[in-house]
Amino acid sequence: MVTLFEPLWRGSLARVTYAGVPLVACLALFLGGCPRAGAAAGLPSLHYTRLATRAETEKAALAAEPNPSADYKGLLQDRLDQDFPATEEDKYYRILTFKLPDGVQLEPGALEWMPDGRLAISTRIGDIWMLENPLETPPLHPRWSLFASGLHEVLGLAYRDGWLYCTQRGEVSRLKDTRGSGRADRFETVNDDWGIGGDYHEYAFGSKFDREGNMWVVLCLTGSFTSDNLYRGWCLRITPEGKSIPTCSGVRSPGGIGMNAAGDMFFTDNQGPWNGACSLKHLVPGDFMGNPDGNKWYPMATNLGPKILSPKSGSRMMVEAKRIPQLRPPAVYFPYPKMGQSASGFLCDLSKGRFGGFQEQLFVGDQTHSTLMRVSMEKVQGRYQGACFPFREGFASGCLSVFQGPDGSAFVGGTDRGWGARGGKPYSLQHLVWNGVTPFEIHEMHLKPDGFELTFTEPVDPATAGAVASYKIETYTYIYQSNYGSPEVDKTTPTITGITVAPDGRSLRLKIDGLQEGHVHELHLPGVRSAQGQPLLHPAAYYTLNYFAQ
Amino acid sequence: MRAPAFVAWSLRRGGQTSANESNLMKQTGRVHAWCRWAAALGALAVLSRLPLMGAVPAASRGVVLGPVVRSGPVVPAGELLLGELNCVACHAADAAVLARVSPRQAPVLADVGARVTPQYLRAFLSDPRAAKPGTPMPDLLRGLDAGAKSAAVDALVQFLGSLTGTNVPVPAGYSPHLVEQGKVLYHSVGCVACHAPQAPAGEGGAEAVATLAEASVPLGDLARKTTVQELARFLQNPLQARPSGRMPSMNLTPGEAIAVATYLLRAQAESTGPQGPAVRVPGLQFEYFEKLMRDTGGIDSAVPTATGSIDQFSLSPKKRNEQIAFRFTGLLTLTRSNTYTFFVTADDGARLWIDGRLVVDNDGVHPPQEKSGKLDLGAGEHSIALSYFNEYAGGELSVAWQETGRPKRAIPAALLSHVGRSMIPLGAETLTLDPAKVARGRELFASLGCAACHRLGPGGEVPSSLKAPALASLDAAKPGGCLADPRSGVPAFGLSDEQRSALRGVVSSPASLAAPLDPGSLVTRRMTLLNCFACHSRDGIGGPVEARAEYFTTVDKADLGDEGRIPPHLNRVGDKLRADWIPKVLLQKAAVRPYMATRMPQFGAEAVGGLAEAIVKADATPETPAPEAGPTDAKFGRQLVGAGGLSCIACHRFGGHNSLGIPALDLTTVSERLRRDWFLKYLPDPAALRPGTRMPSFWPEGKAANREILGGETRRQLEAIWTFLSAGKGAKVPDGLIPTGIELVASQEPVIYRHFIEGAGSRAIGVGYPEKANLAFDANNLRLALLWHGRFIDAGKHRRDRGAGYEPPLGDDVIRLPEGPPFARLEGPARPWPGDAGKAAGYQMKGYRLDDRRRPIFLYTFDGIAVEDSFVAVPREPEPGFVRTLSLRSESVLPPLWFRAAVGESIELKGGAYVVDGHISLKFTLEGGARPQIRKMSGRYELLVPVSTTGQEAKIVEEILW
Repeated sequence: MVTLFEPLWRGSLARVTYAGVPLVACLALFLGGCPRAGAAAGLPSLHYTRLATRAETEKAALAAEPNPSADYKGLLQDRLDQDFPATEEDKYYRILTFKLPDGVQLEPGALEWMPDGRLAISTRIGDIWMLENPLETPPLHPRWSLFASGLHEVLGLAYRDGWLYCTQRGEVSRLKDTRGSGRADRFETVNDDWGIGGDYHEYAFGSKFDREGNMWVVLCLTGSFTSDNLYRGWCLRITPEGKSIPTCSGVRSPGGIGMNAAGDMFFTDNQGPWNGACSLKHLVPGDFMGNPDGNKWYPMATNLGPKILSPKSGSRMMVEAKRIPQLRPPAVYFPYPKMGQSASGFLCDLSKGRFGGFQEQLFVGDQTHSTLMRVSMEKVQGRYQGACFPFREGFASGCLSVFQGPDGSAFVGGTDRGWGARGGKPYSLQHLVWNGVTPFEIHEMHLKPDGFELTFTEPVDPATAGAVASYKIETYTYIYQSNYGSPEVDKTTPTITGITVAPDGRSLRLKIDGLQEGHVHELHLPGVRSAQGQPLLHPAAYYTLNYFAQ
Repeated sequence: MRAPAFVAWSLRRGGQTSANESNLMKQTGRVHAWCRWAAALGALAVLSRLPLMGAVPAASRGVVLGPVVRSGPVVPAGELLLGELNCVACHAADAAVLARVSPRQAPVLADVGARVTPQYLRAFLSDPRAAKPGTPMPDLLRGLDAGAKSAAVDALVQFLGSLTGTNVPVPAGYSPHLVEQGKVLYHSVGCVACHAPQAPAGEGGAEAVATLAEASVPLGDLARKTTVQELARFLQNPLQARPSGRMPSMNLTPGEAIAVATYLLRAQAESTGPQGPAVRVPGLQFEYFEKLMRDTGGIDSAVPTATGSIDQFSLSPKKRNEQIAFRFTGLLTLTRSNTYTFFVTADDGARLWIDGRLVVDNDGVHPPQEKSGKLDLGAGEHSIALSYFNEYAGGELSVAWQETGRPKRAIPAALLSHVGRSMIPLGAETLTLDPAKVARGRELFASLGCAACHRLGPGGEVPSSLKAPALASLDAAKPGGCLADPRSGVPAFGLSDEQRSALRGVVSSPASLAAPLDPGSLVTRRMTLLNCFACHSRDGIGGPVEARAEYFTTVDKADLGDEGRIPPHLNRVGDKLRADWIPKVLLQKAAVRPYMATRMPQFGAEAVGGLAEAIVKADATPETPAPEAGPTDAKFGRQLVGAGGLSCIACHRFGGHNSLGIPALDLTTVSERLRRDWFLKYLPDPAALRPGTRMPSFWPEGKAANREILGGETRRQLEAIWTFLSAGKGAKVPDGLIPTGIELVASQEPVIYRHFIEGAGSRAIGVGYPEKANLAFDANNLRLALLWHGRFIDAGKHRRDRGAGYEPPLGDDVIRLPEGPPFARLEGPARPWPGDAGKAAGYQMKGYRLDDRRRPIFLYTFDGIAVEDSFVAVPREPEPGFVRTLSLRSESVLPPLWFRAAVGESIELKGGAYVVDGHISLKFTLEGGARPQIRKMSGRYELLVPVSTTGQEAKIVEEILW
């Protein structure tokens, strides 16, 4: 019976092999511990035997059920999605969609796991919803309850000691249900040490707690170009006692904040003034994140000393980084618009393998493209830098909040309000579930003094992987400027002078002549095949080289 | 003939490659910036070999070629010179040559006597290049002895002056406000694409200003040359005097033209000084103050932040909304005696005086309200003055009048004036016409060859009597004439050796000079001559050079990135735009990017003749015939454009409706502008046709992101959108664009709304109660800010788009409660209530908790005292009210404190209740027999409630009805 759970997509032959199994049986088994679903669905017996296409199967299933219920349809769609994956990506990671409560503008701004196994979802219009049994797959019976409302655009949630901490536009608050009614009745202000005006741009994103128990809050500038209120364009740490510590300047327009596996804090910053492209930036206390428009607040941040040097518009990031010691270059650029156009929330895979073979990597949302990107980083000369890769597209709305559940699966909240997004839904909450098979992908990309080392999720075919013609590489950087964004400039084409494939086929070394400091190294691998003869699911990597390997 | 150091440096650099540049760039930021500069001004490197007059900018002849150097000279230098110097005006050439070089028409001098002062004409004719470095005007008097030269100049000035009669300059009124306005316009609408900026664009822009001065079309000594009125008249229609189109019209309104002219001629006022003659200036004088006031009396002790003149009573010079004041003063000139009623509508207060008499008193803090006053006034001048202030929120002012027997209306601006400092051209010289000199001037105008280039307008033309050989008969091998060393009797252009050689080169190959241009070359040539490349790039040529790019801005800081501020590239523009749209842009001011501060200039039909056709010929590919649209295509197109589809309207305006986000291009203009093939190619991959665009693709790699509409078929979706947009302005507005309200209604329990609420600040907490009483608590300043009845609030503004801006209460009877801290210790009964509130006064928000009926109890602290502020809505007739309980708890014994319950124009105790301004009733239950006190401070009443001091706790219960 176990075989029934095995994905059926492995080939039409496989599908036929399972063909004798009635769909109802598949579903009943598939639903596992949820007998109510099967009963509600009242599914008729249906044979796959003669059904080769999705449309045929769907038609037959619907014909067999003259008055299909919503549950039945949901069940059917999910099964069809699994058996007839629409895209290559669907074969490895499925996107399941939660049905949202009727008539509720549920734009997930932040997500958090509650000790009782519920998922807390805060929304842009200021509600906090609780979703019971969020790990149900497929999610046919979402049970929603409203925990709190009337808050101001909550873009951060973190649970600690019976309190749900939330980052609103104007403050970090903590909420508690003291009466056991299921709804919060205490709304305490933890910290409100920053300024806000009436501008839409002044978002505040809050992290989970770091190893010292601090919450980090990144504060968007007032508009694209100014900091009109206290600490706009800064990161503050909020201590367990509720005190604020000015931590980093130079923030422009964050889309998300979180930690990597080592517990170091990062945020995504968006293309715009002083940001040639969207990027992932490492928040180190005392450092300057690159946009000087908020540096007028240095006199208030006495712990950080006097105002730092201003960058010169029209320069390059690494030129300025050598001049301004506090300037920390972005760890990873997301080339615009190749990778995305609005980097947002992210998760770090700490599931120890239950989310596929990319342990401890980051999965970063993009709001415009409604995608997740994948990031692997390393420390070079003591600073984080690394590569990003395409990972998964096709979310229903612009990805904003991204969170990993305790079983390793990912939750992705989407919204297209104010900024258009692919997907077509105004908002959504979706569940990204690994199907148990890791695609053939670049696993990690490491800088070496003379090139790059690539590791792969499967052994590569030494012939194709060893051929220079299988690769294309170019480099470029961005103008570091006060104007909006930047084209790719200073382009170069390095030469691959040698390739060494490891005996186990799991890694290879590219010897490269012409690595460029401060450049994105865009690598395409159209010719590389796995030992099984498969192409890479995503044959592209973008490595941000700020510092040379020594 | 000086060569600036920079030019020499550029020359040495010559044609260094960009690779060298990029290496250099990496060395230091300083070198880097310098190199970017060099690249940007690379044109100099080439053109400095062909300097026209020695000064580099003159060589470029207004064509700021910038990046052109990277791909080599676009137009052969000799041909460029031949046309821009208008050699063919004297050296007759074939029609084919004229068609190729598009000679530059010199200014029409019909009204030069009115436009230009005699002192400037005199200086200019004496030594054109000294008066205006870089001018293409040759020195025709070179070689004459001083006496002869002076006599010739005098005669020419007399002749030109005679063309429009006497020209006593009319002084203009100086206004710092106009200078400021003009400065912004000059640096934003596009003037500095060709001319030198006179102010840095941003931090550290001084270097750019200095460098650009060397690479710009010179303005000459304008302050000596003309008056504000004449310059403004010229700016509004430069093509009349300069039909060449090299100085295009920037579509300035009359007011804008006056502002730019005032700015450019500001030296006239600055050097006139305070002792300059006073003149009657149209409009009112204003002073603008940034200060917190509670009535207009506060103006007397305030120092103005800005002053200037303005055509009407208007708040437009304000820099912010709150804590501001204005004083307007001037003269009102009446044409007849009558009884006049003046109306002043203001939020907050205003007062109007005529002849020193207070006519309308609308002072004090209040929502917009109108007050009026009537008086009899005789014909003639009357002094008029108006004071206005706004404390917080709102802010408006309008002034109207009504003459007996006539309708109420605004006071005509023409009746308002004031006495101000004057601006007249520097070095004033009056010209007394001497008929003999005029006649001599006319002869010289003909014989020197002036008449060959300059037209004098209908009826006044003078034929040139200068005889020069035809172009075709010139022998390049035997240099003489203009190409020889300058000598008497030959126009001296001040050509460099390189330029002479370039001209010789072109003269020696007459065949190539007569060859017709192919459409692509014609486009490039016209774009070079008209300096389109200063703003637009085409095929890798042109676009704003980096230092100038800083001056390209968006209107109202529209969040559109570079697309919002840099004019679009013109690569294959003839394939993009419809053939009937291009002439509209070139000749009919058609513009679709209202967010772009830089304007598309109008060059005139003479200058752009044939350009539109050439663009089409050069670029357009044959249009694919459109398949017949299905009957439902428009419907699906509308779905795709709207919310729930691809939500194009999240960014794009539609038929004049604002988008839900940024103000990107109005989609109803698509079909009148764009060719269908281009549109269908653009949508799937916008970045391919517009690199750097923020427009995302909704069909990545050709696959539709929306799988539902039209089965996710890319081609059908694209066609459907085109079909829908083809209806142009008639297209039905897509779903999701016209915002509908989202009213929040409290039914069973209170509704809380934390957001930007007008009158309650950026950290407002609005609470609507089922009893239909509502309040807003200001968590910045820890105070009850607003009370109102009926409907609670419309969340639509905050929930439909990005969520900006303040939302006012939706219901009625809105009461705004006093600013300032709720509690204070007062050292004595006459001490004013402190102004600081919130964190500045030591207050800290602590949040709120909900009671058993989910009503919030607000929590905050100050001075070690914890306050709980709770509200219970109580039904009353005719309207509900609140019972408010303030509980204070301190670690130690409470100090003596006051709670300020109200501030108003009047507070009276009636039947146990304190009545504020006649409509708010407050009743108190206080411990220990304490009684509230009414006091008058700065003209207003305050109701102060003592806080019991018997222990560590205290309580005030207050019933509020309104």
